[in-house]
Amino acid sequence: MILNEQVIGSVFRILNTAAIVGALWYIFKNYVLDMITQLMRAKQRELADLSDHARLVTERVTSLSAEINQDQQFFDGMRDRIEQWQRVAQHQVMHRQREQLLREQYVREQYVRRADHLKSLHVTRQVVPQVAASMYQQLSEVFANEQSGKKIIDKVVVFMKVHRS
Amino acid sequence: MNREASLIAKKYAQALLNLYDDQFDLAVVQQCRALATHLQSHPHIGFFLRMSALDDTVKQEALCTLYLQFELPPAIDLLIKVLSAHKRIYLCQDVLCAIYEDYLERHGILEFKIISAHALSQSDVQVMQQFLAHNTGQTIIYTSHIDRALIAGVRLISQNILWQYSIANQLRRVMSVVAE
Repeated sequence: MILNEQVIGSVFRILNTAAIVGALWYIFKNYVLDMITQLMRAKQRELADLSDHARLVTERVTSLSAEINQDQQFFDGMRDRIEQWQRVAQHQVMHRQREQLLREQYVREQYVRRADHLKSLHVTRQVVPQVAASMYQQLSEVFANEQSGKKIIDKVVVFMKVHRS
Repeated sequence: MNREASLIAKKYAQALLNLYDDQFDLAVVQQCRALATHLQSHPHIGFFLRMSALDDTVKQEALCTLYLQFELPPAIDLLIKVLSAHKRIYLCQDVLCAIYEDYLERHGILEFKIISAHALSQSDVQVMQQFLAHNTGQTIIYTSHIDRALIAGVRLISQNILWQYSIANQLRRVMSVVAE
């Protein structure tokens, strides 16, 4: 009796176990497996999305790199142009300074020339006539007497005698 | 005297000298110039000669009186008549000057003014005359003048030639060099 009970218990335990396994299988097959499949699909989709996103990000990174390169080239170009502009500006400033110096030098020289001219004009218009008048007066006095005048005449006559034949 | 009148006067003078050269010598042409100078120094004579209201006979008579006073040859009388006939009697002074100049040119004579600051001796003047004759190749006639402005020395000047050695000139040259 005890043996039967044990067998029956075992059979029922087997049956219970089988029922539990079956129920578990059923549950697993009908619910868990779908859920897992859905989860896997979701994960796959997520993975695909991530992959797409990664690709987009990569493309974006590439695009940004290209933009950065372009910007870098643009700024390099700008920097070169600015440097060139600075050089030109410096050259113009130096040129203006040189021209200013030349102008100042020219003006100084003009002043010097003008001063020389005025001095010369003063000498020509005032000093020379005064000196000439004074010398004329003195020479007239020197040659006032006949003897002094005769010396000059004799000199002329000697010259003419030499050159008359 | 304008250029046209001068040319016409010169032609009259040349014609007269071509025709009556025998009536002219240096003394006569000098008298011609003296008469021309007289006419020049009395401009009112020229004024009357140009006056058309005055009869040509009156002009001729006046000029004939002058030509007799200056003891000019008969050719001048003829010249006055020709000029009167040609209504160019106002050219008389120019023609007389032209006669003098043309005569000197024909006979290779140059007239010089010998200007000196002091009186020159006759021998000095002769040396100057010979000097000028030698250097110009022409006969030299001259008039002497004293000009104290020269200070000392001489200036020999003709119509086209100037020879000068004077203290005033030397002074002027020195002053011009200094002024430059």
